[in-house]
Amino acid sequence: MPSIEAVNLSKRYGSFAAISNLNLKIEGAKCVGFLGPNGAGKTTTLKLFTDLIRPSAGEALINGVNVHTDKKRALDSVGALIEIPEIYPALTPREALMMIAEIRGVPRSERNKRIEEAVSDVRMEEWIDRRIGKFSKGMKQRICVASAILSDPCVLLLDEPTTGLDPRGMTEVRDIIKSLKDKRRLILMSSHILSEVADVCDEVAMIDHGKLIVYDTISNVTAKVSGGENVVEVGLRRHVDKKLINKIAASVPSIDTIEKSDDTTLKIRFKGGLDAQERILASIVRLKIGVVSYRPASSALEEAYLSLITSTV
Amino acid sequence: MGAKRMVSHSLWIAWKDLLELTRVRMLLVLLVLMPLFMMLMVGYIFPTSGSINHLPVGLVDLDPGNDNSPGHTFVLQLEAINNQTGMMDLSSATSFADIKTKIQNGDIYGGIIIPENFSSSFMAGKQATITIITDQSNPQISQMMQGVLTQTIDQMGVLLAENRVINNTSIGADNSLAIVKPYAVETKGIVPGNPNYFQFVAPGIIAMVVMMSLMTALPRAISHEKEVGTLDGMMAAPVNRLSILLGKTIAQMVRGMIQGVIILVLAVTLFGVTIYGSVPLIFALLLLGVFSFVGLGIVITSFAKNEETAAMMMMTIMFPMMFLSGVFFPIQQMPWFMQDISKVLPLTYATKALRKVMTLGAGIPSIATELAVLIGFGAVMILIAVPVFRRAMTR
Repeated sequence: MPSIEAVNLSKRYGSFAAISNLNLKIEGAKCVGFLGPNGAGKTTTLKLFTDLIRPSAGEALINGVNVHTDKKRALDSVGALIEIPEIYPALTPREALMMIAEIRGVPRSERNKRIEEAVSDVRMEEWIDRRIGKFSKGMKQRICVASAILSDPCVLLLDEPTTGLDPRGMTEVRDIIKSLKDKRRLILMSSHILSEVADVCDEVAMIDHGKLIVYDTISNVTAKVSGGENVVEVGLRRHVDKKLINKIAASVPSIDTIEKSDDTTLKIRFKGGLDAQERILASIVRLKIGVVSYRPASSALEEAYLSLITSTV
Repeated sequence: MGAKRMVSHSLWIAWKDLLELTRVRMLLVLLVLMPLFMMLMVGYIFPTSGSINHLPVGLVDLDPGNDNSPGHTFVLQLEAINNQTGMMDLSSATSFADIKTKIQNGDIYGGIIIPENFSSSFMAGKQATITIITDQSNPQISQMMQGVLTQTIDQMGVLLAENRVINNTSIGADNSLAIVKPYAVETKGIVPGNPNYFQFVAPGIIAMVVMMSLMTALPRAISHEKEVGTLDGMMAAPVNRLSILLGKTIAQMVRGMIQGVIILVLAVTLFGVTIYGSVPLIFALLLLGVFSFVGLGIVITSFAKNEETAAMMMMTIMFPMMFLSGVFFPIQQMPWFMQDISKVLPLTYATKALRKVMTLGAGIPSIATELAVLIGFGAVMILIAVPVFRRAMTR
């Protein structure tokens, strides 16, 4: 089972504590959103986990291996995109990934196959032999993601992977990350975009002023803040009207309130965790009203975030 | 991490760097142009006696003699010799003051004055003096002109004296020169051919370009990747920092050696430089020269936070080194304190060794001291540089 663990992890720059006694253990195949305001310590934490910087105290462990004392073993199963990743503009993706395959220990006999698979995963097949310098930012980002998954790592560390991309680019990278979830990986993804985290991630860890504020499932986090009340958004094929709202309210148990979010989306507040969430989904689907999506409300996460993160650094 | 894996990573990183180099056309062009320009500029801007042509010189003839007088004859002979050599463009001047004004105006670079008593001194059997006026704002040209003119006038004087001996004594033409000039000087080199400035400067330029290539490109390569963000990608991978360093060093060494070969080929084909020594030994010396600079290049890399700083640090070190290492000028001509400084510069020894091998055909025994210094310096610098680099890369 893949795992990332910070044990009393601290990083100081002079008198400034970027990370302060962080204790966080994430294990299992899942996607965890790493949230916090600017300067909270998100990137510093990810850099500590990739040996780009050394801790002032404590340990950073990946799959139980200390990153700083046994870097090779720890990072052998890790793919990472830290800060604003760049990749060699004068090379083609195939050439750049060939070098990365070598340094990541991909066996020679598998390299070409792995490169083509990684490029295919990020939907850049037709660009594999063109110079990276001619790519757009989104395309480069996709190649960077390909470089991170090239060795089929069980741990992926992504630092704001959609930063600086246009809406199309953000959607594409987000879809790629979602597709990576299916491959038994532990993904830790930092982001400022709460809707993105709500959409992609299963759990969330929030950090502020270098300290861990909370680590839990999104629904538990939103429930804690909303007094045990959870919010889900239901997307429908049909327009939402009062008649439909009344029908749902009458037929589906455990709902506290139901309101129209937009023309085709409902916002349902309820008490309870994942079990309640599942029951509500099953009940709504039985009504055959054309459900096309069902997910924790991003605004719920935003409310939780704003409640827990009281100021920026 | 195994040594084999470390070396393998290094070679791949070197391959990547060299591939990037081949993809940037401007860099490839400059790879050839830079050494070419350097050879052209250095080879042709420093004057040699053969390089002085049509130098404007003023001639003041104060001698009152007629057309057959010694003074006038001297002028005619000087003009005849000058017509053959084309060294000067002789123009008339009226006096020392006139020559001074013309030199100050930049119209001429020097003057020749035949004094009033030239013919009368000659006829009275006394030595006649000819004055050469030099432009002291241009000591190299002045020195060159002075040397050539003095030699020419001396030769004219010897010929004249020989004729006098033949006409006034019973000594025949076969022995007259022995009376006028009892000692003759014969100059011989230990290798064939006459020395020229290219032969002197080419070894130093080759050594300098190869080493500069490493010293400038290595810090810049690493700083550039740091700034752009690709270095973090490599460092976040299971790759030893030393592999990154070694890979980039190998790439820049190859680049430097390519430039060294280009200069060598240009020197031989275009500038008439002859290689009298062993070509494999020359390559071995270049590699050793690069090795001696690797440590210094790594130290600069470690302290340079960005490309601009790396470039400034490199220039601060390389610029004085270029001039104090005997690349362009003989060290023996420098003041004593500069000579002492040159003794601690690795480029001095690399230049000296290359010059001995290329120009004098020397073998390994003759360059043992230089080899020992280069190996020692390189080893010590690497021992210092590696932990410094590791520390700098660990934030």
